[in-house]
Amino acid sequence: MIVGIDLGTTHSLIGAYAGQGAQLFPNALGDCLTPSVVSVDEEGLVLVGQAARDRLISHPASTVAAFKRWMGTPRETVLAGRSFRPEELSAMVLRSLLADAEAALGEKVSEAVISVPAYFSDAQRKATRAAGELAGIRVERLINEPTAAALAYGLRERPDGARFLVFDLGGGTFDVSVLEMFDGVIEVHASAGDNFLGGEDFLDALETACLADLRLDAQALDAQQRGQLRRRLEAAKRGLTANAVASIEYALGAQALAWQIDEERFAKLTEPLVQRMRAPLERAMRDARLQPEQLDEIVLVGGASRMPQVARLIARMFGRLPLRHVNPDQAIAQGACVAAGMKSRDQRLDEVILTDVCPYTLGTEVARRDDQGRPQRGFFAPIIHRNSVVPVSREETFWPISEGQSVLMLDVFQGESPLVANNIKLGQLELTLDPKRSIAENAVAVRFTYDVNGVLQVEAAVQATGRRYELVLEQNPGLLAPEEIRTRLAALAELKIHPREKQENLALLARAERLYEEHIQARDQLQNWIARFRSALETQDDILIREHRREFGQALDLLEGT
Amino acid sequence: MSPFEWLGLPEDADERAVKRAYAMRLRTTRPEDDPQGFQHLHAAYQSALAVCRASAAVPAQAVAQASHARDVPVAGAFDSVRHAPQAVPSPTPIASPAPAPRPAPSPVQAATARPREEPQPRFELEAFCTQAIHLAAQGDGEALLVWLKSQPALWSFRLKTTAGHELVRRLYRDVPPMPAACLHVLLRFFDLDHVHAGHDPLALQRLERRMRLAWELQPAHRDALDRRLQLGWEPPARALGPDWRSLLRSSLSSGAKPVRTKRCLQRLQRPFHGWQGIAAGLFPRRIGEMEAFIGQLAGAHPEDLPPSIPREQLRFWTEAADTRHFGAARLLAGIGKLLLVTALALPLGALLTLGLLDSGSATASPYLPLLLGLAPATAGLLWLALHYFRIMDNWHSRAEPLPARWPRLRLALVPGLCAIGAAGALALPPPYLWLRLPVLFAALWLGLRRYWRRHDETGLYLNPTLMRIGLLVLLFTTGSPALVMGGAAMLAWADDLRRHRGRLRLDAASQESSRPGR
Repeated sequence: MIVGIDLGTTHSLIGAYAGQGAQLFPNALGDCLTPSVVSVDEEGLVLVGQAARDRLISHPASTVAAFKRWMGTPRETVLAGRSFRPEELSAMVLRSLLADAEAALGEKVSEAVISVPAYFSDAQRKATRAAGELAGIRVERLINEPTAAALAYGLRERPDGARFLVFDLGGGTFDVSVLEMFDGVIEVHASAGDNFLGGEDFLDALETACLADLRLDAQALDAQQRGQLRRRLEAAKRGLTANAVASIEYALGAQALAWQIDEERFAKLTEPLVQRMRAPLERAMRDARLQPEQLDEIVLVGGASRMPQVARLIARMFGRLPLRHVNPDQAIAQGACVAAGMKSRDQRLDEVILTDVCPYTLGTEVARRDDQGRPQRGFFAPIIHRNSVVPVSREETFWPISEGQSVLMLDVFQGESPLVANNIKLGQLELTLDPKRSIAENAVAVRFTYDVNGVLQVEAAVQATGRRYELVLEQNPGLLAPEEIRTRLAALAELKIHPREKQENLALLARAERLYEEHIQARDQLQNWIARFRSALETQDDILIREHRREFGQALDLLEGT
Repeated sequence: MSPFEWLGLPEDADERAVKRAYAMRLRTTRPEDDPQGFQHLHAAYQSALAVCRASAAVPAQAVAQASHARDVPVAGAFDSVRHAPQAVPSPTPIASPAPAPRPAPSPVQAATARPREEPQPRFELEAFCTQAIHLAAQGDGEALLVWLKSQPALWSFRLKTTAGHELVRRLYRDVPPMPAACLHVLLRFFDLDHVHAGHDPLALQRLERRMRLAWELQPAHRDALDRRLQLGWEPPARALGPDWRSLLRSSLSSGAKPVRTKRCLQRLQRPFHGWQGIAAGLFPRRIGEMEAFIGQLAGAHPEDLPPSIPREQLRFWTEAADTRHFGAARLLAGIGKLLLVTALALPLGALLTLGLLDSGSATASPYLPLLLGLAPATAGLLWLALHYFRIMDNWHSRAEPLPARWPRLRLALVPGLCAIGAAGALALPPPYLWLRLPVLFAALWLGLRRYWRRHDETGLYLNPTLMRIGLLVLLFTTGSPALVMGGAAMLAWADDLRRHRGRLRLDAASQESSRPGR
């Protein structure tokens, strides 16, 4: 069985293509959305999900969130004395998701299709694959998030002959894809995006404004206080989707603070972020060579696309209102499930064929002669153009710049800038030439091949000698080497995750601890309740624990409700 | 094979049929199972679609031309690249910016035909461009960006594309003064700073340089120029041409002593007169200072300085500083230098003679002041000769792939000089035998320099200092310096010839000149 996973910045989901089509699996708390938060408790056990998210308030030092943004970088996070790379943190979320899937399916899961933002770079994709390996599964395919959402949407609506745009604003990334669906073919025309734009940035804008209004210094607040503030602002942000005004009340030590924001001010604060979405939208439309009136639908996915600014942006740019009848939180995961079903050759998906594109340009560095005949270095010569349909294989011929040249350096770059200095270097190939031959004889044919999974292969052949070279992409500092993955896998296996059946109790305790931090006046009572629940847990009497849990949960609901 | 045959369709199939056939064939040629087959299929599909659209666009285009054409999509330049097999002429009309285009029409109208002629609030393209360039000339990138973002008309995809292209066209046409940051803001906002925008990066860099220099040389922005010059000279785009040495020198000297911007700029902006060249020779440091200043100001591209700088002035200072060539500028400066020396030497000689006569010294000759006056003239001649020798040396020892004039003379120079030396030994009477030594020394020098300079990369590396010392030792220890010099020169020449024998054949075969741009 191949599962489909949406590994999001703020939330993750898992599912499979089973009896009734795409089906998502609930976690131990009965929710399909598992927060992508990892925490390590006092005993060195790992918590993932809602419990970890509550611990973000009560134990900020040993909890981490939004690590998807660091994928593909060597950044390490220290939790309870052990440092973790973003791949490892993602692997722990994956492990917890897989436990949920195994509980629902009753069988071992070993393969998965994982969705990634369409605009994820080579390093970020490789890091996601490494995370899968660290979680002990084989990643059969990485599917682009907007494409996945389009799959889910397309299969349900069957809009034959329609062109549509998927606008995916998640917690941390922004993606746009323009697609067309006809006769069962889902064809991606263009993708564009911004890897550092998402709901979290809107929250940051809100936090900055709030701190400025309350004359608070962000540095002066400790991690716990900031966590509490962000949690309240998050609720306020969600409130602004439905209401015109949202307010928060916040206790800082003995000081009670209150802050209010209306929709207009929120829109003004986040104007720069909204402006940043224009460029990817324009680029995707231009690359697809479509005008707004040629689009049939605009589909919004990703939790942050619920914000009113997004609908306004679409209305201004496209002169119409976006379509909303997909579940923005689940569409991508459902699409990933469909992709998993396609991968396992499900009979019902036999009619569906998906073609995707390579979202960025791949090429090499060249020198050119300027108008005075002087050679100038550092120009980018594209070989695979962005938004080419994958798999794609292209060949270009290059010549040495000067007579008698014995070495030709072939640098492989990814990016859009005409100068390589602004692009990302992926690797380097050194070719030996025969210096006695002329420039024309020393021509080098360079072939780039980009496959469905986003793996780039570079081949070069010197035409005079017929010698062939193949590029082994050098290990850049953001990536893990295969042997390192193996050692880290062993180290990670030693790390225990709380068993699934205990999750409910843990989540309740974490929630009570969070409330303890938030509600100063009810502290004594909460401490009392926590102690009683702990002693109930120690009896190991299932019936007693269940009874106690129910009452405890109701009491907490009541406390939080007031 | 036509794309329609690939898809199993008649040549007059419509778009719908092409898509259906593509979908059918895709079932057996899935991208993940058969990458090769899929690529062929997709290429055929794209070509067939392009043909369909072109033929469908012909009637619509007739209508569009009856009104007026406008509005070329930005991807236009890139279309032909994308559809490598069977490039079909893009059906989009050519841009004509004169009538201001109107914003996007309603979807219904676009679906039927595309007259796009309904009245809409007009967007004044000309006025917009003028205003944008005016704001950019203020130099505040942030304010420019805020203004651009606040333009409601630019929310329309089509209009923004048109406006971006028109703006860049005007920038190329007028080269308005503008700092680089503002140009980048404009390019980024209109999404023209990527490889597929269709702008030549070299031309764009040059435009940026020209606009920036023009902006910095405006009197109001002197402080920006000062700031940049003080921060030091930065290479614009890593140049590796033959000029790197002078670039390096100017960058090094700029780090050591900041040149006086104001003084140098005044000097550069004056109209040029011939006497000024002679005057420059009187102050030899001025040439170096000006060279460093021009290097800092414009890097390797002094030709991109705005027209407010007289070209003669610019040419004079760059030529005067260039020791590898000998032109009018250097001659003028040399004359100036000679005049200075003569003017100093003549009174000095006169004073000295007077002093000697006064002291009653019998050895004092009345010709002394004349001799002292002749010495600078001789020095000037020697200086000229040395310069020409250096130029000859440079020409003679040029690396093989670089073009050089009179290749045959170049090859025969060293043997020719040696032959003159040998002939001198036979023909000259003994007291004048020493006359052949300078000739042979020149041959030796040229031969060794040629050998060394053409082999420093591929062959054995010879330390020039060691080589010269060894030579001197050899000269004084052996009895016949002439023989040693001539022999060594011929040896070096022969070895150089042996190493480059392949090239000799190649040159003879053809003056092969295919030099691709990449």
